[in-house]
Amino acid sequence: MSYTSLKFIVFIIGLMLIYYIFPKKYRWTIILFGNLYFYYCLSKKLIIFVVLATLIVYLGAILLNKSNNRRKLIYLLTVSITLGFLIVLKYNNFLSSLINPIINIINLNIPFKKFILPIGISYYTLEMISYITDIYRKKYQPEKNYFKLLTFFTFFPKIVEGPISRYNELSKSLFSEKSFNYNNCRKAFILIGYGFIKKLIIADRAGIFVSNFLDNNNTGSYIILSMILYTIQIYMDFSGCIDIARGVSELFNIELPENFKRPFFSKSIEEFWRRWHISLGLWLKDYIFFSISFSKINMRLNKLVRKIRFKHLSRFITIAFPLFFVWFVNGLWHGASLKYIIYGLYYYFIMMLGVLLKPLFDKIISVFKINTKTFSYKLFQIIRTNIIVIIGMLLFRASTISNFISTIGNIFIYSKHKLTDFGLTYLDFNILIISLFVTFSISLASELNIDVRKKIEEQNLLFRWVIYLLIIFSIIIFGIYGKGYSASSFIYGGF
Amino acid sequence: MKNFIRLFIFLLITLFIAIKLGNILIPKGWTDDFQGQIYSPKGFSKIPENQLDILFIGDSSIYKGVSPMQIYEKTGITSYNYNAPSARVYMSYYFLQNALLKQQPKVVFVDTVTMFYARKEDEPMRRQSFDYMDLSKVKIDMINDDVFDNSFFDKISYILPIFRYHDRWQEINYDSIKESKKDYQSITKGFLLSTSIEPNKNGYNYLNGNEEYNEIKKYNLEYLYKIINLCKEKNIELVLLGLPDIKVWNQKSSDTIKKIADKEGVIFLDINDKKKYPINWNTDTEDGGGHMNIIGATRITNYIIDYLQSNYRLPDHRQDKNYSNWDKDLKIYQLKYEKAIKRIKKNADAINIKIELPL
Repeated sequence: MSYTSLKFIVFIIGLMLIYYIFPKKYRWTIILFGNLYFYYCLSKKLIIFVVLATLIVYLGAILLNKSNNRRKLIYLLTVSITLGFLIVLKYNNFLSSLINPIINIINLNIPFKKFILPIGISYYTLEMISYITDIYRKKYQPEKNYFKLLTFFTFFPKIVEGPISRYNELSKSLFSEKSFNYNNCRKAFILIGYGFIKKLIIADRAGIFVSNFLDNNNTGSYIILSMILYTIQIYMDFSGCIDIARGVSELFNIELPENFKRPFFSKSIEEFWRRWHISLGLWLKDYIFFSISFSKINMRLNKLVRKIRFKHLSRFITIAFPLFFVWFVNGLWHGASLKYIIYGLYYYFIMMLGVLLKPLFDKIISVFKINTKTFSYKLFQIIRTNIIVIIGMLLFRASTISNFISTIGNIFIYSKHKLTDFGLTYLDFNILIISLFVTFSISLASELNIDVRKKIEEQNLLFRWVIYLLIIFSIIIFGIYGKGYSASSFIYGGF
Repeated sequence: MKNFIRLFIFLLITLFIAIKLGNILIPKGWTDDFQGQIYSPKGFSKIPENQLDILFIGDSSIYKGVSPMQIYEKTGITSYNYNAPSARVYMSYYFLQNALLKQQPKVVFVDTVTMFYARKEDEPMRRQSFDYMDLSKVKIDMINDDVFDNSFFDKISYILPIFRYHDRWQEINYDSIKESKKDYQSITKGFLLSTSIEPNKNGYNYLNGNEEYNEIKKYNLEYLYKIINLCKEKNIELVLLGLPDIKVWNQKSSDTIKKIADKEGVIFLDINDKKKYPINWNTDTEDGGGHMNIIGATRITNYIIDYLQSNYRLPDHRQDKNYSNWDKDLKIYQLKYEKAIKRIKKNADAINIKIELPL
């Protein structure tokens, strides 16, 4: 039952009906029931992992709150067990491939074993670490009701692709008593529809070209097009799913945090990552960056670098050390392989280079008297950022680093291919262009602080209905889903 | 309350548009001068209630093998060839059920070659059978029948075909919109006038030949019994029909069906017997022995007419005013038939074959 399936839509309608019939005080139990049902449909028996991990975090937090002298031990133990599930299930093969060559010397060996990952483990583990760390830092009181905690961790709209939520923020709307709000549902519908358009019309359509082109080691300038289309695919897929998740939450009057804020309008990589997968960025900042920054080792390092004569260099090292871990973890979180670590460190390297060379850039700007406040300069910054991101996306997609390098090299090898050789027709490209124009316009309006959904809601009934019908039927007709239609299999002549 | 009424109206409009767009998007590519295929399931619903004396159900063997209008022309008995390409016997069961919603035939002929399919049909084949069936309890039962392995999405898309055929938007033009409004009343009553000709060069040895298709799958047998029971329940005479076929049929097939027929007390009319019919494998088949062309179909229909006249006393509707629609269709059918004969003669000339027209 994926977010874009008919089954999911039926599930949501059914759940909504039960939710709003139930007494307000206990409505969250319907959400819990829905969460467990949804999770079970996706992961079957593997549901045990999230149920068990929640229990550990729940008990850990209660103990942590009661204890005075063993707080650190309880905290580390809870984090280790929670993280242990993720490491064993997701990273064991990667770790084996790193450790085995070393321990083979003493005739030891960690066996390779491929586990089926419970859905959302990468997301809910981060939420669990965030929860227990916040309790450890005494940010708020632990939840006394295990089932409420389970409702939060398994909350179905966010369990598959996030956003990574904070208990103290989401619990407010998750457990508060709410009435049915028709207008809210209408607004939610637009957001869900927008998510479907991004995912089914744009991402999955772009994906056809990308897969057909890049999976077959093709050469030529279309590689650049497929890199751009892949970046579009990833963004539309991810942000589309988040829009659906947020819209579905709104149907239940529950607010999920924003995870994307028009990242392709960013003028620097730092800004890009503040706008892209925001909840992950904030998590890394709060639980990796701050933890490392305030660690003893970093304090000592800071003391040491203060002695360096070049102030700029000393400041650089102070930032570079904790940020290294942030980007290392960022890369590793995306996948259990060296490629993903390099993907994370790619951004780290570019950012650090930017910090290191900032005095030089400032000098160039002042020597050539470049006005950085003009539209053209801002546009240059946006294009520069997007180029870095597009290259990063290829790194993310490539099967190996050498595959990434060879793909870049293949750009310069001439090819006779036509645009329509890779699964998309000219009409498909037209649909892509039109829908990208629509999403760009909506993004631009949002950048200018125009609430598009509110604007639509302010319109007359007839206009609103036309918009709703356009959303529904553009998804149904132009969406990429189902078995596909092959005229040859349908035109039946032989029997 | 106002909001819910609005929501209800909005959903009705959405449903209406979805149905209309589905009608435009659903494929309609299997139509020609000589009909068949799409006309069979769609045209069936155009037959006025309780007008059929006989029903033929099955797959391509029967819709290229038996001409209901020829039967009407010669006897005044009304019949319909309700079928779909590649239809398995479990699909025939639903055709029969659907047919019985509006018709009360006295005799039902079931094409038994469908019993011997070794695997289930491909999804497009199933679509061609059921996409054109009007929504009814029978269609709902079919959608939910486990034999078809329909997913939730499939089930919805049988009711709203827009979900299945949305991909066809690139092929849609003004003609598609015009065709969606077309009346698919079947002049040939489900029969397809095949004008191809491909002789069978191996001669007549089929009852001893192919051993590949002689096993009946359990699920096929189950549905044959369902058909038998349904006919018994509705007091309909069931005739299991073995149509001439060199490619699939063999002695074992014949024996197996005979055994079932004897056990269940139903009739088995095996036309795969050299002594019984005058098929000329040089001229009567469109594909070297798998299907009849119009010449072969005319001969087989003549055989069935003889069988009907000798075994049943069915009414002659030719002078009946209530059946004037059949007389009207017959005139058009005769023109189509003549046209088809001209075309098959041309095809025969092209490969130097002399055809002898049956009477």
